[in-house]
Amino acid sequence: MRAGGAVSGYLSAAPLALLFTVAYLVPVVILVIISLSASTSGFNFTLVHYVAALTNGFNLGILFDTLVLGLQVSFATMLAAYPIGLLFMRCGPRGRAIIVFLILLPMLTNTVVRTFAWMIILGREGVINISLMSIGWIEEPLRMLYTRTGLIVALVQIFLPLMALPINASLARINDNLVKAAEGLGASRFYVFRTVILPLSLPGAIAGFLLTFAGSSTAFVSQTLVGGGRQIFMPLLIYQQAIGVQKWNAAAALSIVFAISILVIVFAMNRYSRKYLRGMDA
Amino acid sequence: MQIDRRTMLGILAGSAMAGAFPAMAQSKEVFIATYPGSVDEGFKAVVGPQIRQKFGATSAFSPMLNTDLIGRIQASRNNPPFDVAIWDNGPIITAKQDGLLEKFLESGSPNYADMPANLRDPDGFGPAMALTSIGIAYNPKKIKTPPTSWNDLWNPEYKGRVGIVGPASTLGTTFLIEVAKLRGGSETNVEPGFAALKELVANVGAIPPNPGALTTALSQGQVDIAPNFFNNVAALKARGADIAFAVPSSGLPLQTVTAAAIKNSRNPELAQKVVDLLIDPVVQAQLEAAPWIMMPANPKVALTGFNRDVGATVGDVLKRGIFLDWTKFIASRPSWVERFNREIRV
Repeated sequence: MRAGGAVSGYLSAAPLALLFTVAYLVPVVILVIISLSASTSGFNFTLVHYVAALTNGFNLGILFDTLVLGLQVSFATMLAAYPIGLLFMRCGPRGRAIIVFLILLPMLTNTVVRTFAWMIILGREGVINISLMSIGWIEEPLRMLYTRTGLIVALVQIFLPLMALPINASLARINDNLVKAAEGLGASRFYVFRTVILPLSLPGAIAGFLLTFAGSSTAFVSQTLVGGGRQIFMPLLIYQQAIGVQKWNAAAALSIVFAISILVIVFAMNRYSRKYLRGMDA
Repeated sequence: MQIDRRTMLGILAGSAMAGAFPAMAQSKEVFIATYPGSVDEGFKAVVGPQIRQKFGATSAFSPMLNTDLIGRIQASRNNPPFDVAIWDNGPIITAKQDGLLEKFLESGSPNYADMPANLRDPDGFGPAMALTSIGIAYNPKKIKTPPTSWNDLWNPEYKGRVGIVGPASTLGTTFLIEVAKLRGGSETNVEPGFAALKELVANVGAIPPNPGALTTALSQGQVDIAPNFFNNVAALKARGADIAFAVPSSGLPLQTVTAAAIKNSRNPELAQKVVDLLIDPVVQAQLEAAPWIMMPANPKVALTGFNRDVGATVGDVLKRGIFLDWTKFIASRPSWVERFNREIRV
């Protein structure tokens, strides 16, 4: 049984592996081929699209800004998720079930629908502006839709479940006696959080951070609809190149550059966190 | 619930027969690529039944963007997934260059004689089956004096109320060229257009990412005046929104929606017949009516309802219309997109 375990394990993973190969790996390879070809009719090897993508200062600025957006959203989401996690930690099984249900509830709505809801909330004649104007706090409507702050707020709400669930899971695993011991020895609440709870929950936070980062920096629909056409991030730039002006090869090269940039950050964070965790064990 | 083998066999046999019989009864099927939204709905409701009635064939319609369509045909050139498609001015140039289209057999088309010269593809790939026009969309409750010219968008009264889109869309490209023309530029010289857009930024309240989002911005009061497609305005107006369409005094920019057969179609004759059917006055008149509100290309068709906001007859619309020559600027468009991204920002 033991000896065959590995083999049957691989075998049972085979269908999914096959699906990934056909539905994910093959398209990525095709994308790479397109990005290395001069035009879409026939394959003529060239690196011009990569040279263009990597030497165009404006495009590089957009790439950098997109990664910064992802980091901003991930940090903000983490700040929003920790209080939920701390509440989750203190709740009994019933309370925890309710919190998980409330976190998952927005995920039952399609992202596009949630994005449209944010447009209605943030718009010039949206819920916030109309309310604030009717109680006389503001005279002119505030500009929230098509601003970076508005976009970050919307993305935080959209990606909160991806951050809150892993953080909750790792907080729930923390041995309560550690917290009690620290408190008993006179540590302040904040000190307990900083030296006990935060380090022990970091694996969950890093998992959530990576998911949120990868998701929010590539969130085409939310970025374009809430962010507008004036704030250009990589997904919109790629869309313009591919769909707007039919420069597929250039769009493919931009996609590969973007994907690699995200992967580099994800791998770097992963490595760092593993090193950090190993350090904690020792 | 457990499904035993006999039940399973029964289900399989049943679904196989259900699938096989219609195919045997009607051997011919034509696959048509349409545009998402009301165009696709109109084709399904009007064109599908006509194809069955006239040619005894079944039809399947797939709504998609032209760029997506080009990709799908290129992926399987020898056995293309479509027999007929409708095309915008920009993408059809790519489709022709890539050799994806079949020439139109004019002699076999009874309705082709109706079509004016400027609604026939210059390279012989087919007739325009619909027209889309661009003008000034505005909220009549907020903008009391109806606009008459593109220049009205620069009116200081509309500070923060104007919406525009970039040249990655047909709408943005056309707007840029029309504004350039008003300031001494042309289809190939958009320099004055960019200068004018920079001045317009003071008035601009939103630059949505695409024309659809611009239409949403208009309907939600994010902006009150913007260049837009007549079709988008008519669709909102039909739903009772506060929106109106003004034809600019410099002329009504028109785009053609060209119907063309796809090369290597399995039913080449039927494909040619379907292209002819699409410009048939009866089909065109049905698509012209609400709720589809398509601007017909065949001048025999009378205009009704909202379409009369643009002109009294198709001939009238064509007379007021301006056609841009996309072959002249399609190569410079990518640089315009980049320039807009770079220069027209807050």
